[in-house]
Amino acid sequence: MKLITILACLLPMSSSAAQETAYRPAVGQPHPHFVLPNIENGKAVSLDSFRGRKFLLFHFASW
Amino acid sequence: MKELVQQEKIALCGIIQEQHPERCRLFAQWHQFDWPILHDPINQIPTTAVPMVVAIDEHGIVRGMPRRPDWVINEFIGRTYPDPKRSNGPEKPNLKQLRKAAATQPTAANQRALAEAATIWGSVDTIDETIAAWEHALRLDPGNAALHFGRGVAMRMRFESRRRRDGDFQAAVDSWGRALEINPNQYIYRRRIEQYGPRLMKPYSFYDWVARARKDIVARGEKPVKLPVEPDGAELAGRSRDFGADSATVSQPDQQGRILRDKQRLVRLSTVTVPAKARPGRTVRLHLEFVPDGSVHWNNEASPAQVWLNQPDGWLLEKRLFELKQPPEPESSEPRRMELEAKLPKNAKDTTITGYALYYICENAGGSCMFLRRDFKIPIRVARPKSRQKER
Repeated sequence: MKLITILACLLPMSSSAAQETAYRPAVGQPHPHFVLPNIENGKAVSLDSFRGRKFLLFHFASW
Repeated sequence: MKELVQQEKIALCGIIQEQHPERCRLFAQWHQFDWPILHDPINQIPTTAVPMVVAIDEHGIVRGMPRRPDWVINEFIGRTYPDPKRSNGPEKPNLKQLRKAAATQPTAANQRALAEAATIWGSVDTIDETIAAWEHALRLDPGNAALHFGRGVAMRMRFESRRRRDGDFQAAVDSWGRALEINPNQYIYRRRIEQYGPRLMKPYSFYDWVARARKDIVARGEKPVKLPVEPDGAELAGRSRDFGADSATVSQPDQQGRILRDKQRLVRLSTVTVPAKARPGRTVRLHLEFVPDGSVHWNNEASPAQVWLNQPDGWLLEKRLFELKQPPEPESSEPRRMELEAKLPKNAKDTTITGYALYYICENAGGSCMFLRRDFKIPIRVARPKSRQKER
């Protein structure tokens, strides 16, 4: 292996890591917090909006 | 499930990652969903697959990923879960504070926080600032797929707004392509490119349900949700397993090049290729848009505009001669768009597809009408095959 290739392998990855951590909700763990707009009226809805209620969170697309 | 919701034993909430939230509003209206659906255009919750259902208890703790209602009904709803005393998360981001933080401490994290919040919560009036924040974050963290994806989302938002600039759509496609190069397993990034891409790459048609939805909603006596951006072209095109090429007998409308050229560029042309880097042996979708420059308008009392494309050696164009639709009124100034697909040879290299458009336009002042030809070039970048690393 050429020296330049060895050095390239030792270089640190970009500061954020090439791949973000994927969303993998873990049973028994807090769901990642979110605050996002409601498509109907633009108002903020957060994870905490549902405190005190059980809910099903659907990730979907219209396509 | 509806009864359980009505009895307030469980709530429902949706999250969508689509570029256009109004399309999902129409979808929800069609299916009569009456639960909140949230818009996450930049995939801030980094979803890698849809659909996905997550059951969350009354304290915000994940309790399951149910695939069937039985578990929800028989176990989840009736169970009382321990309260871990979790503290509340942050509120809706404060754009003013984020702008101040990004200006005084322009770190990648601060730029990203501003870019994300401005894309999700900002308005089209500040879209230039939003894009600048994405680009600043990318200069500091160029290998970050999520930043590239977010920039693409913002560029496409600007393309669809009154603040659009030439090149915005291609820049969006380039950004999404870069995001997918960095993270090829990101389903949402892939789908975004496929939405505007060639039929051979499509898993299905994205928005052909819109016409049916509108019909059904009107039949119920309701008014369908308005879509500020109508799906078109690639977004309606179904999947195809074959590539259909033009007849070999079609002939050029101005083979000898005798029509006067539009030297002043009275009609502006922009072109976009999807994906940004085409793969040898695969197809690429070309988007062309013709827009009168403001000093002229289309003359619709004459024949429709035509577009001719030359087929490079070894390439196959879906069609070579196109006619652009025109409205019934005698004059108009709307952008005229067309799309086509091109199949690359297996040994394809970077190529330029040439062609020309022929159109009737009239001056707004003075009223002189002309029939002009506009020659163009569409550069196609071809992805280089990744060379295998030699094993040590």
